[in-house]
Amino acid sequence: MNDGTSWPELRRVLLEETQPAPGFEQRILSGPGAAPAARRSSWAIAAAAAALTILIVVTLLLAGRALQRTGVPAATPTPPAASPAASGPPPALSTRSLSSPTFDPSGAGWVIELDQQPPLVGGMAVMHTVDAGAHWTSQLEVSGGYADLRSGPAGQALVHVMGLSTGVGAAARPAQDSFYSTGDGGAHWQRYPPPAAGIIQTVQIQDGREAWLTMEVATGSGPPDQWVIYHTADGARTWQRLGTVDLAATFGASNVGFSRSSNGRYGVFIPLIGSATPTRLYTTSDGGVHWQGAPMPAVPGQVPGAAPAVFALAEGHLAIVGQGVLLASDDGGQHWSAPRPLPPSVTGGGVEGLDSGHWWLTTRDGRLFSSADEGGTWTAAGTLPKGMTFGSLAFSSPTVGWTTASYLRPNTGNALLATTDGGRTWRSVTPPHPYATTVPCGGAGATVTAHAHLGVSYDGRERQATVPAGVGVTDGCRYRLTTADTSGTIDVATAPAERGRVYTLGDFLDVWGVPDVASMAGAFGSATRVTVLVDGRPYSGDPRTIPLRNGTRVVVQVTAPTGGG
Amino acid sequence: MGFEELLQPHLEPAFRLARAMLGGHADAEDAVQESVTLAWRKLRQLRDPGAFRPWFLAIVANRCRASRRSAWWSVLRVDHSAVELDGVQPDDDVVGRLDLRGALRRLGREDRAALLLFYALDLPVEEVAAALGVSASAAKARIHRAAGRLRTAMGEEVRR
Repeated sequence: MNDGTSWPELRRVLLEETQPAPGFEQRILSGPGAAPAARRSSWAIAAAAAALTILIVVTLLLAGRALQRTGVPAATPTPPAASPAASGPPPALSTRSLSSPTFDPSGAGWVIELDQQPPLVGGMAVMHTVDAGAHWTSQLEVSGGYADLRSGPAGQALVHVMGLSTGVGAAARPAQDSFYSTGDGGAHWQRYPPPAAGIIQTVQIQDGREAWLTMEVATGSGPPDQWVIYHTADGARTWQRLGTVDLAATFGASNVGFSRSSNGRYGVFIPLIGSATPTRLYTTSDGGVHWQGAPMPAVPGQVPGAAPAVFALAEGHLAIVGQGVLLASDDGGQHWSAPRPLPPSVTGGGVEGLDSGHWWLTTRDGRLFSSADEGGTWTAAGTLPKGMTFGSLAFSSPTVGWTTASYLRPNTGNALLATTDGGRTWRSVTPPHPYATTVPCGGAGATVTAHAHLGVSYDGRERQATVPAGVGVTDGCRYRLTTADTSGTIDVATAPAERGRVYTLGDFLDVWGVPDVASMAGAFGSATRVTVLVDGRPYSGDPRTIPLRNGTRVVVQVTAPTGGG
Repeated sequence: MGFEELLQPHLEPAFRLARAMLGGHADAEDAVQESVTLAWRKLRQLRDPGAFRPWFLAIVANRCRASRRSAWWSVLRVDHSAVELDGVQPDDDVVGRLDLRGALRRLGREDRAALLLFYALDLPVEEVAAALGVSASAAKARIHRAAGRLRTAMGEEVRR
């Protein structure tokens, strides 16, 4: 029996320390929280959606006023660039979860696909291409949560699969991280465990062979008081213990923070919690053995309490994005530039850099700017397809790049887009989804023989354009179940040898890449009940078994208690 | 029972767990909000509605772990809510609590989570285990070790 009252002081302090702010339930249930990170993982951005858009607009308005009040110099107008070309319509909506795009200039590349949205643990596959995304092969299908991948020359790749706990009760399984390494383009993979037992704090993969890892350890019976830093140069087969960092001596009272290295040798650490001293930025230039502390620079226009976004670029370059300005450092944070204005109308965003002559600034509304002078001046470079926002961005040359772009709609995933003109235009190179489906794809002689309808209604009113156009139409082939527009009409095709086969709603969801009908309902909102109607009548069985015959009308009905969707 | 009805009683424990693991208000709200969305989408995977609380808390804990370690988060954030104790009157009781607060902050996030779930939220060991993704015996050991580390961090023996 839990006797929580026998240590009342601890209980009281724990409850005080974790006290929610007023209104937190409403904020959680109505959308993403305030002050999102300047660059969030792509699936989280997808979940943000409309509320995020509103937040951005409000932030832009408030930031503009704040800048006027605080006297931040107006942004220097950049020379008018050629109007970026539109990137065409966005790819069909899906719940794909792609991450860690990594490519080399030859067009060989990798991307990780998770079939569950993290932090849920599910299957993941490493997708590999040798022709810049025209064709993909699925490799290394394992179970995992988050994963990261970097590649190197001659078919080298290193994957870190983050261990997350699974199961409930007796079925609970503890977290266990793993590393997978290949040296032949993914034909063969070797699995390696971490170098020691313990809580892994960070993993920084540099390329297909080299990585750094920090692990929290306790030297006595007390709390974790050290970081142990390990390094591998052979794809995680062996690890060398570089040294230890005394947390208290190095970082003060804090033992909580993020660390990020631009290349493993330069590292950045910012204490977050419990620091009794003003916020400092700690950097290392020897792989983490020795650290130097320096005050965080003041970011003009920064709202008190807001979090500055620090981006670690190559070779010790750092960038901090504040309200409409950027500060740059080329010595790992020891010295910082004066505030450099962002492009007009841009108050924040993410920064990526190939080298000191090629930096990019991404905005949440999908605009891309480039800079050849470390953020001194910016030029409009291009835009994503309408309705998409940047996720992970990587350039292998000044003109060739990739991003896992997310849809600015609730409960959608992302797509892999590529550019070959410096970000001016983008096209989808998303791998065919690896969901197991028995629906045939391609082949000769298939003709449309039936039309079914799938829609979503909120409180009795049908929601338009829930099912996207282009479902079942991929670069490689055309499935038997497709959509041509956003009306919800499903075209059912049949080949001569398949006469009599009846497809189901589950087949269509698999082709679409949507796990279930509840996921179709879109924004979480306050929906409490999902029912399915088939030809106007409630369907009590598993919706996946609903046969899609000619004229079948399926409506996913969402009922909200307050009358809103 | 609708999802919101199922969820509502567990929002506050979920937030407290996220706060214990992440520290900042905004990060904790983000983590819980994202966990809510995921839980809603994956609710059909939950066979026993009675196990919703540990199942949901496990999602929150995983989200917190991953948000701290996800390699593709290149953004470093500083949350100034950590200095919210400024201005507190330093009477003896408060000083004592400050010691305890400082000691708690010196613990690892898994230790703080274990202490919160067991001592503050009164979850039985089996649910602490499920939320943390360990066996019941491992959860007992973790709670015990965390309490020991807390005592050490406070620099004094604390009576239970």
